[in-house]
Amino acid sequence: MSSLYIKKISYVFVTLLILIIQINFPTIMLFSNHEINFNLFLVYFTFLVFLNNSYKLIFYAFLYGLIQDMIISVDQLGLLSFITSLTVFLLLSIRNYDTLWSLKMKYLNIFLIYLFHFSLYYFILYNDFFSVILLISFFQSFFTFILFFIIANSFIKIK
Amino acid sequence: MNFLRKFNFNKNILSLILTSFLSMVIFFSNEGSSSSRIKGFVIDIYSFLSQPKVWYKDILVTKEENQFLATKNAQLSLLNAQYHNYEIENTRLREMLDFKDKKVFSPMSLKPARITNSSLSQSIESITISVGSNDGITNNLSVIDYNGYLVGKIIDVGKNSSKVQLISDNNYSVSIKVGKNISIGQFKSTYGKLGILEGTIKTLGVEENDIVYTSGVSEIYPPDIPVARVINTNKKKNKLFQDVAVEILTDINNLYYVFVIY
Repeated sequence: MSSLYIKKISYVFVTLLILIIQINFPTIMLFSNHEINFNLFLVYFTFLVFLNNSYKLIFYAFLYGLIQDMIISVDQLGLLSFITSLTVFLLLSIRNYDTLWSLKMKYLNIFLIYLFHFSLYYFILYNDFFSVILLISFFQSFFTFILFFIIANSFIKIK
Repeated sequence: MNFLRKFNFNKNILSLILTSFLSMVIFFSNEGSSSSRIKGFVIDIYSFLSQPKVWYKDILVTKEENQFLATKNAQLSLLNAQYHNYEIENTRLREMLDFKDKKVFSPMSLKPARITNSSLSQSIESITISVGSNDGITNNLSVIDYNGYLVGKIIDVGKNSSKVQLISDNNYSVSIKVGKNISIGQFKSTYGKLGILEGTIKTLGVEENDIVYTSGVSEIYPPDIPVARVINTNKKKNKLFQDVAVEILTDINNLYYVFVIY
Protein backbone atom coordinates (compact mmCIF):
# COMPACT_ATOMS: atom_id res chain seq x y z
CA MET A 1 0.00 0.00 0.00
CA SER A 2 2.75 2.43 0.95
CA SER A 3 4.81 1.54 -2.14
CA LEU A 4 1.75 2.32 -4.30
CA TYR A 5 1.44 5.64 -2.53
CA ILE A 6 5.11 6.42 -3.13
CA LYS A 7 4.66 5.45 -6.79
CA LYS A 8 1.74 7.87 -7.19
CA ILE A 9 3.66 10.67 -5.48
CA SER A 10 6.64 10.04 -7.76
CA TYR A 11 4.38 10.22 -10.84
CA VAL A 12 3.02 13.59 -9.72
CA PHE A 13 6.53 14.81 -8.99
CA VAL A 14 7.89 13.67 -12.38
CA THR A 15 4.89 15.20 -14.17
CA LEU A 16 5.48 18.56 -12.49
CA LEU A 17 9.18 18.37 -13.28
CA ILE A 18 8.49 17.62 -16.96
CA LEU A 19 5.91 20.41 -17.11
CA ILE A 20 8.45 22.92 -15.78
CA ILE A 21 11.14 21.65 -18.20
CA GLN A 22 8.69 21.71 -21.11
CA ILE A 23 7.62 25.28 -20.34
CA ASN A 24 11.22 26.49 -20.11
CA PHE A 25 12.67 24.37 -22.90
CA PRO A 26 14.26 26.47 -25.64
CA THR A 27 12.85 26.34 -29.13
CA ILE A 28 15.28 24.43 -31.27
CA MET A 29 14.76 25.83 -34.74
CA LEU A 30 12.68 28.12 -36.85
CA PHE A 31 11.01 26.76 -39.91
CA SER A 32 9.30 29.32 -42.13
CA ASN A 33 7.95 31.31 -39.17
CA HIS A 34 7.24 28.15 -37.17
CA GLU A 35 9.01 27.20 -34.01
CA ILE A 36 9.72 23.51 -33.79
CA ASN A 37 10.63 21.83 -30.55
CA PHE A 38 10.53 18.61 -28.58
CA ASN A 39 7.17 17.61 -27.17
CA LEU A 40 8.42 16.19 -23.87
CA PHE A 41 4.97 15.25 -22.65
CA LEU A 42 4.23 13.08 -25.65
CA VAL A 43 7.48 11.22 -25.00
CA TYR A 44 6.57 10.96 -21.32
CA PHE A 45 3.15 9.52 -22.15
CA THR A 46 4.72 7.00 -24.52
CA PHE A 47 6.97 5.71 -21.74
CA LEU A 48 4.08 5.65 -19.30
CA VAL A 49 2.14 3.50 -21.80
CA PHE A 50 4.99 0.99 -21.88
CA LEU A 51 5.65 1.09 -18.15
CA ASN A 52 2.08 1.26 -16.93
CA ASN A 53 -0.51 -0.02 -19.38
CA SER A 54 -3.55 1.61 -17.79
CA TYR A 55 -6.68 3.32 -19.12
CA LYS A 56 -6.09 6.04 -16.50
CA LEU A 57 -3.40 7.44 -18.79
CA ILE A 58 -6.16 8.62 -21.17
CA PHE A 59 -7.60 10.81 -18.41
CA TYR A 60 -4.13 11.93 -17.49
CA ALA A 61 -3.51 12.97 -21.11
CA PHE A 62 -6.88 14.69 -21.20
CA LEU A 63 -5.92 16.77 -18.16
CA TYR A 64 -2.59 17.75 -19.67
CA GLY A 65 -4.27 18.65 -22.99
CA LEU A 66 -6.77 20.78 -21.11
CA ILE A 67 -3.99 22.73 -19.40
CA GLN A 68 -2.38 23.30 -22.81
CA ASP A 69 -5.75 24.38 -24.17
CA MET A 70 -6.25 26.93 -21.41
CA ILE A 71 -2.84 28.43 -22.04
CA ILE A 72 -2.75 28.63 -25.82
CA SER A 73 -6.17 28.04 -27.37
CA VAL A 74 -8.31 30.97 -28.39
CA ASP A 75 -11.50 29.49 -29.78
CA GLN A 76 -10.67 25.80 -29.78
CA LEU A 77 -10.76 25.07 -26.04
CA GLY A 78 -11.03 21.29 -25.73
CA LEU A 79 -9.23 20.54 -28.98
CA LEU A 80 -5.86 19.64 -27.48
CA SER A 81 -7.43 17.69 -24.63
CA PHE A 82 -9.27 15.59 -27.21
CA ILE A 83 -6.23 15.11 -29.46
CA THR A 84 -3.92 14.23 -26.56
CA SER A 85 -6.32 11.67 -25.08
CA LEU A 86 -6.86 10.17 -28.54
CA THR A 87 -3.10 9.93 -29.04
CA VAL A 88 -2.63 8.15 -25.73
CA PHE A 89 -5.48 5.81 -26.62
CA LEU A 90 -3.68 4.94 -29.86
CA LEU A 91 -0.41 4.48 -27.99
CA LEU A 92 -2.16 2.16 -25.53
CA SER A 93 -3.48 0.12 -28.44
CA ILE A 94 0.12 -0.78 -29.34
CA ARG A 95 0.22 -2.79 -26.11
CA ASN A 96 -2.48 -5.10 -27.52
CA TYR A 97 0.11 -6.34 -30.00
CA ASP A 98 2.93 -6.81 -27.50
CA THR A 99 3.51 -10.40 -28.47
CA LEU A 100 2.87 -9.93 -32.18
CA TRP A 101 4.88 -6.89 -33.13
CA SER A 102 8.63 -6.52 -33.10
CA LEU A 103 10.28 -3.50 -31.52
CA LYS A 104 10.85 -1.92 -34.95
CA MET A 105 7.17 -2.26 -35.77
CA LYS A 106 6.30 -0.60 -32.47
CA TYR A 107 8.70 2.25 -33.21
CA LEU A 108 7.10 2.75 -36.62
CA ASN A 109 3.67 2.86 -35.01
CA ILE A 110 4.80 5.33 -32.40
CA PHE A 111 6.18 7.63 -35.11
CA LEU A 112 2.95 7.36 -37.10
CA ILE A 113 0.88 8.16 -34.01
CA TYR A 114 3.06 11.22 -33.35
CA LEU A 115 2.56 12.26 -36.98
CA PHE A 116 -1.19 11.80 -36.64
CA HIS A 117 -1.19 13.84 -33.40
CA PHE A 118 0.57 16.85 -34.91
CA SER A 119 -1.16 16.61 -38.31
CA LEU A 120 -4.60 16.65 -36.71
CA TYR A 121 -3.72 19.63 -34.53
CA TYR A 122 -2.23 21.69 -37.36
CA PHE A 123 -4.93 20.62 -39.78
CA ILE A 124 -7.62 22.04 -37.50
CA LEU A 125 -5.60 25.20 -36.90
CA TYR A 126 -4.77 25.98 -40.52
CA ASN A 127 -7.72 24.35 -42.36
CA ASP A 128 -5.80 24.27 -45.65
CA PHE A 129 -2.14 24.57 -46.72
CA PHE A 130 -1.68 20.80 -46.70
CA SER A 131 1.98 20.89 -47.67
CA VAL A 132 2.78 23.23 -44.76
CA ILE A 133 0.76 21.08 -42.35
CA LEU A 134 2.53 17.94 -43.46
CA LEU A 135 5.98 19.50 -43.33
CA ILE A 136 5.55 21.01 -39.86
CA SER A 137 3.89 17.86 -38.55
CA PHE A 138 6.67 15.71 -39.95
CA PHE A 139 9.42 17.79 -38.34
CA GLN A 140 7.57 17.94 -35.03
CA SER A 141 7.02 14.17 -35.03
CA PHE A 142 10.56 13.50 -36.15
CA PHE A 143 12.18 15.50 -33.34
CA THR A 144 9.81 14.09 -30.74
CA PHE A 145 10.43 10.56 -31.97
CA ILE A 146 14.23 11.06 -31.97
CA LEU A 147 14.03 12.12 -28.33
CA PHE A 148 11.91 9.09 -27.50
CA PHE A 149 14.30 6.81 -29.40
CA ILE A 150 17.38 8.15 -27.60
CA ILE A 151 15.80 7.72 -24.17
CA ALA A 152 14.38 4.30 -25.07
CA ASN A 153 17.81 3.09 -26.15
CA SER A 154 19.85 4.56 -23.33
CA PHE A 155 17.85 5.03 -20.14
CA ILE A 156 14.51 3.24 -20.12
CA LYS A 157 14.48 0.04 -22.13
CA ILE A 158 11.13 -0.85 -23.66
CA LYS A 159 10.15 -4.21 -25.03
CA MET B 1 -6.52 -14.05 -20.55
CA ASN B 2 -8.38 -13.14 -23.72
CA PHE B 3 -11.32 -11.90 -21.69
CA LEU B 4 -9.00 -9.75 -19.57
CA ARG B 5 -7.41 -8.24 -22.67
CA LYS B 6 -10.82 -7.51 -24.17
CA PHE B 7 -12.01 -5.93 -20.95
CA ASN B 8 -8.90 -3.77 -20.81
CA PHE B 9 -9.45 -2.68 -24.41
CA ASN B 10 -13.05 -1.78 -23.61
CA LYS B 11 -11.95 0.28 -20.63
CA ASN B 12 -9.65 2.19 -22.98
CA ILE B 13 -12.51 2.81 -25.41
CA LEU B 14 -14.83 3.89 -22.60
CA SER B 15 -12.19 6.29 -21.30
CA LEU B 16 -11.71 7.74 -24.77
CA ILE B 17 -15.46 8.21 -25.26
CA LEU B 18 -15.73 9.90 -21.87
CA THR B 19 -12.79 12.24 -22.46
CA SER B 20 -14.06 13.06 -25.97
CA PHE B 21 -17.45 13.91 -24.52
CA LEU B 22 -15.80 16.11 -21.86
CA SER B 23 -13.72 17.83 -24.55
CA MET B 24 -16.88 18.54 -26.49
CA VAL B 25 -18.61 19.98 -23.40
CA ILE B 26 -15.59 22.20 -22.77
CA PHE B 27 -15.52 23.22 -26.43
CA PHE B 28 -19.10 24.43 -26.30
CA SER B 29 -18.87 26.11 -22.89
CA ASN B 30 -15.88 28.24 -23.82
CA GLU B 31 -17.53 31.60 -23.24
CA GLY B 32 -18.72 31.28 -19.63
CA SER B 33 -17.46 33.58 -16.87
CA SER B 34 -16.28 30.63 -14.76
CA SER B 35 -14.33 29.38 -17.77
CA SER B 36 -12.62 32.79 -18.05
CA ARG B 37 -11.75 32.74 -14.35
CA ILE B 38 -10.20 29.27 -14.60
CA LYS B 39 -8.27 30.27 -17.72
CA GLY B 40 -6.98 33.37 -15.94
CA PHE B 41 -5.86 31.25 -12.99
CA VAL B 42 -4.05 28.73 -15.24
CA ILE B 43 -2.34 31.55 -17.17
CA ASP B 44 -1.08 33.01 -13.86
CA ILE B 45 0.45 29.68 -12.80
CA TYR B 46 1.94 29.15 -16.25
CA SER B 47 3.42 32.63 -16.21
CA PHE B 48 5.01 31.93 -12.83
CA LEU B 49 6.48 28.61 -14.03
CA SER B 50 7.94 30.21 -17.16
CA GLN B 51 10.05 32.69 -15.18
CA PRO B 52 13.36 30.87 -15.88
CA LYS B 53 12.78 31.07 -19.64
CA VAL B 54 11.91 34.75 -19.40
CA TRP B 55 15.10 35.27 -17.39
CA TYR B 56 17.47 33.54 -19.83
CA LYS B 57 15.72 35.04 -22.84
CA ASP B 58 16.16 38.47 -21.26
CA ILE B 59 19.89 37.88 -20.90
CA LEU B 60 20.20 36.66 -24.49
CA VAL B 61 18.33 39.53 -26.10
CA THR B 62 19.30 42.45 -23.86
CA LYS B 63 22.40 43.52 -25.82
CA GLU B 64 20.73 43.22 -29.20
CA GLU B 65 17.64 44.99 -27.94
CA ASN B 66 19.66 47.80 -26.37
CA GLN B 67 21.31 48.50 -29.70
CA PHE B 68 17.97 48.44 -31.46
CA LEU B 69 16.33 50.72 -28.91
CA ALA B 70 19.26 53.17 -29.00
CA THR B 71 18.92 53.41 -32.80
CA LYS B 72 15.17 53.70 -32.53
CA ASN B 73 15.51 56.39 -29.88
CA ALA B 74 17.79 58.45 -32.14
CA GLN B 75 15.39 58.05 -35.06
CA LEU B 76 12.41 59.04 -32.93
CA SER B 77 14.23 62.08 -31.55
CA LEU B 78 14.86 63.27 -35.10
CA LEU B 79 11.27 62.55 -36.05
CA ASN B 80 10.02 64.34 -32.96
CA ALA B 81 12.01 67.43 -33.87
CA GLN B 82 10.52 67.27 -37.35
CA TYR B 83 6.99 66.92 -35.94
CA HIS B 84 7.62 69.83 -33.59
CA ASN B 85 8.37 72.01 -36.60
CA TYR B 86 5.27 70.69 -38.34
CA GLU B 87 3.19 71.53 -35.29
CA ILE B 88 4.43 75.11 -35.29
CA GLU B 89 3.74 75.36 -39.00
CA ASN B 90 0.32 73.77 -38.57
CA THR B 91 -0.65 76.16 -35.77
CA ARG B 92 0.43 79.11 -37.89
CA LEU B 93 -1.58 77.88 -40.87
CA ARG B 94 -4.63 77.22 -38.68
CA GLU B 95 -4.39 80.75 -37.36
CA MET B 96 -4.21 82.05 -40.91
CA LEU B 97 -7.34 80.04 -41.85
CA ASP B 98 -9.07 80.96 -38.58
CA PHE B 99 -9.60 77.31 -37.54
CA LYS B 100 -11.13 76.59 -34.15
CA ASP B 101 -8.86 74.72 -31.76
CA LYS B 102 -9.96 71.17 -31.88
CA LYS B 103 -8.04 68.30 -30.36
CA VAL B 104 -8.21 65.42 -32.79
CA PHE B 105 -5.97 62.89 -31.11
CA SER B 106 -5.95 61.99 -27.47
CA PRO B 107 -2.67 60.52 -26.22
CA MET B 108 -2.78 56.76 -25.70
CA SER B 109 -1.83 55.21 -22.38
CA LEU B 110 0.53 52.31 -22.89
CA LYS B 111 1.31 49.54 -20.44
CA PRO B 112 4.57 47.72 -21.28
CA ALA B 113 4.51 43.93 -20.92
CA ARG B 114 7.00 41.12 -21.30
CA ILE B 115 6.12 38.03 -23.29
CA THR B 116 6.18 34.88 -21.21
CA ASN B 117 5.59 32.42 -24.01
CA SER B 118 7.02 28.97 -23.81
CA SER B 119 7.58 25.80 -25.73
CA LEU B 120 4.62 24.11 -24.07
CA SER B 121 3.09 23.94 -27.50
CA GLN B 122 3.42 25.58 -30.86
CA SER B 123 0.96 28.38 -31.00
CA ILE B 124 0.22 30.74 -33.81
CA GLU B 125 -2.94 31.80 -32.06
CA SER B 126 -1.86 33.40 -28.83
CA ILE B 127 0.90 34.66 -26.57
CA THR B 128 0.99 35.19 -22.82
CA ILE B 129 2.13 38.54 -21.42
CA SER B 130 3.23 39.59 -17.96
CA VAL B 131 0.47 42.06 -17.07
CA GLY B 132 -2.95 41.23 -15.69
CA SER B 133 -5.94 42.56 -13.81
CA ASN B 134 -3.65 43.86 -11.03
CA ASP B 135 -2.21 46.25 -13.63
CA GLY B 136 -5.64 47.39 -14.78
CA ILE B 137 -5.79 45.11 -17.81
CA THR B 138 -9.19 43.99 -19.04
CA ASN B 139 -10.44 41.95 -21.99
CA ASN B 140 -10.47 43.39 -25.51
CA LEU B 141 -7.61 45.86 -25.08
CA SER B 142 -5.35 46.32 -28.12
CA VAL B 143 -1.73 45.19 -28.02
CA ILE B 144 1.04 46.77 -30.12
CA ASP B 145 4.78 46.14 -30.48
CA TYR B 146 7.56 48.71 -29.99
CA ASN B 147 7.21 49.87 -33.59
CA GLY B 148 3.57 50.64 -32.92
CA TYR B 149 2.35 47.79 -35.15
CA LEU B 150 -0.76 45.90 -34.13
CA VAL B 151 -0.03 42.57 -32.41
CA GLY B 152 -3.50 41.50 -31.26
CA LYS B 153 -6.00 41.91 -28.46
CA ILE B 154 -6.39 40.68 -24.89
CA ILE B 155 -8.77 37.72 -24.62
CA ASP B 156 -8.15 36.25 -21.14
CA VAL B 157 -6.95 38.05 -18.04
CA GLY B 158 -5.32 36.55 -14.96
CA LYS B 159 -4.15 38.51 -11.91
CA ASN B 160 -0.59 38.96 -13.13
CA SER B 161 -0.70 37.78 -16.73
CA SER B 162 -2.96 37.80 -19.76
CA LYS B 163 -3.49 35.94 -22.99
CA VAL B 164 -3.30 37.85 -26.28
CA GLN B 165 -5.01 36.64 -29.43
CA LEU B 166 -2.44 37.20 -32.16
CA ILE B 167 -3.17 39.02 -35.38
CA SER B 168 -1.95 35.86 -37.20
CA ASP B 169 -4.75 33.72 -35.75
CA ASN B 170 -7.16 32.48 -38.41
CA ASN B 171 -10.16 33.69 -36.41
CA TYR B 172 -8.76 37.18 -35.99
CA SER B 173 -10.46 40.05 -37.72
CA VAL B 174 -10.10 43.83 -37.49
CA SER B 175 -11.76 46.76 -39.23
CA ILE B 176 -9.19 48.66 -41.31
CA LYS B 177 -8.73 51.57 -43.67
CA VAL B 178 -6.36 51.62 -46.60
CA GLY B 179 -5.31 53.67 -49.60
CA LYS B 180 -5.52 57.30 -50.61
CA ASN B 181 -9.32 57.22 -50.61
CA ILE B 182 -9.41 55.70 -47.10
CA SER B 183 -11.27 52.60 -48.14
CA ILE B 184 -12.81 50.76 -45.19
CA GLY B 185 -12.51 46.98 -45.08
CA GLN B 186 -11.87 44.00 -42.88
CA PHE B 187 -8.47 42.40 -42.27
CA LYS B 188 -8.37 38.63 -41.91
CA SER B 189 -5.32 36.47 -41.36
CA THR B 190 -4.80 33.52 -43.70
CA TYR B 191 -1.48 31.89 -42.95
CA GLY B 192 1.62 32.98 -41.04
CA LYS B 193 2.37 36.60 -41.86
CA LEU B 194 -0.13 36.73 -44.69
CA GLY B 195 -3.69 37.97 -44.70
CA ILE B 196 -6.43 39.39 -46.90
CA LEU B 197 -8.60 42.49 -46.90
CA GLU B 198 -12.29 41.84 -47.30
CA GLY B 199 -14.87 44.37 -48.43
CA THR B 200 -12.49 46.72 -50.23
CA ILE B 201 -14.53 48.25 -53.06
CA LYS B 202 -12.97 47.95 -56.54
CA THR B 203 -13.37 51.60 -57.44
CA LEU B 204 -11.22 52.74 -54.52
CA GLY B 205 -7.53 52.76 -55.30
CA VAL B 206 -5.37 50.40 -53.31
CA GLU B 207 -1.77 50.00 -54.39
CA GLU B 208 1.09 47.74 -53.49
CA ASN B 209 3.07 48.84 -50.40
CA ASP B 210 0.11 50.84 -49.08
CA ILE B 211 -0.06 50.59 -45.31
CA VAL B 212 -3.24 49.25 -43.76
CA TYR B 213 -4.34 51.02 -40.56
CA THR B 214 -7.05 50.28 -38.01
CA SER B 215 -10.16 52.25 -38.93
CA GLY B 216 -11.30 53.07 -35.41
CA VAL B 217 -14.81 51.90 -36.34
CA SER B 218 -14.78 49.16 -33.69
CA GLU B 219 -14.66 49.96 -29.99
CA ILE B 220 -11.67 47.67 -29.42
CA TYR B 221 -9.00 49.24 -31.59
CA PRO B 222 -8.07 52.92 -31.61
CA PRO B 223 -7.70 54.39 -35.12
CA ASP B 224 -4.44 54.63 -37.10
CA ILE B 225 -2.54 51.67 -35.72
CA PRO B 226 -0.48 50.16 -38.58
CA VAL B 227 -1.65 46.59 -39.25
CA ALA B 228 -0.24 45.32 -42.54
CA ARG B 229 1.29 46.21 -45.90
CA VAL B 230 -0.44 45.55 -49.23
CA ILE B 231 1.55 43.05 -51.29
CA ASN B 232 -0.87 42.30 -54.10
CA THR B 233 -4.20 43.51 -55.49
CA ASN B 234 -6.46 41.79 -57.97
CA LYS B 235 -9.66 43.15 -59.52
CA LYS B 236 -11.95 40.54 -61.06
CA LYS B 237 -14.76 41.58 -63.38
CA ASN B 238 -17.46 39.51 -61.76
CA LYS B 239 -16.70 40.68 -58.22
CA LEU B 240 -17.86 43.80 -56.41
CA PHE B 241 -14.83 43.87 -54.13
CA GLN B 242 -11.17 43.60 -55.03
CA ASP B 243 -8.87 40.87 -53.69
CA VAL B 244 -6.15 42.45 -51.59
CA ALA B 245 -3.34 40.33 -50.17
CA VAL B 246 -1.41 41.84 -47.28
CA GLU B 247 1.56 41.04 -45.09
CA ILE B 248 1.37 41.59 -41.33
CA LEU B 249 3.82 44.28 -40.21
CA THR B 250 4.69 43.01 -36.77
CA ASP B 251 7.37 40.31 -36.46
CA ILE B 252 5.46 37.78 -34.37
CA ASN B 253 8.39 35.40 -33.95
CA ASN B 254 10.67 38.01 -32.48
CA LEU B 255 8.46 39.71 -29.96
CA TYR B 256 9.93 40.16 -26.48
CA TYR B 257 8.03 43.19 -25.27
CA VAL B 258 4.65 44.57 -26.23
CA PHE B 259 2.45 47.46 -25.13
CA VAL B 260 -1.16 47.24 -24.08
CA ILE B 261 -3.24 50.30 -25.02
CA TYR B 262 -5.66 51.19 -22.22
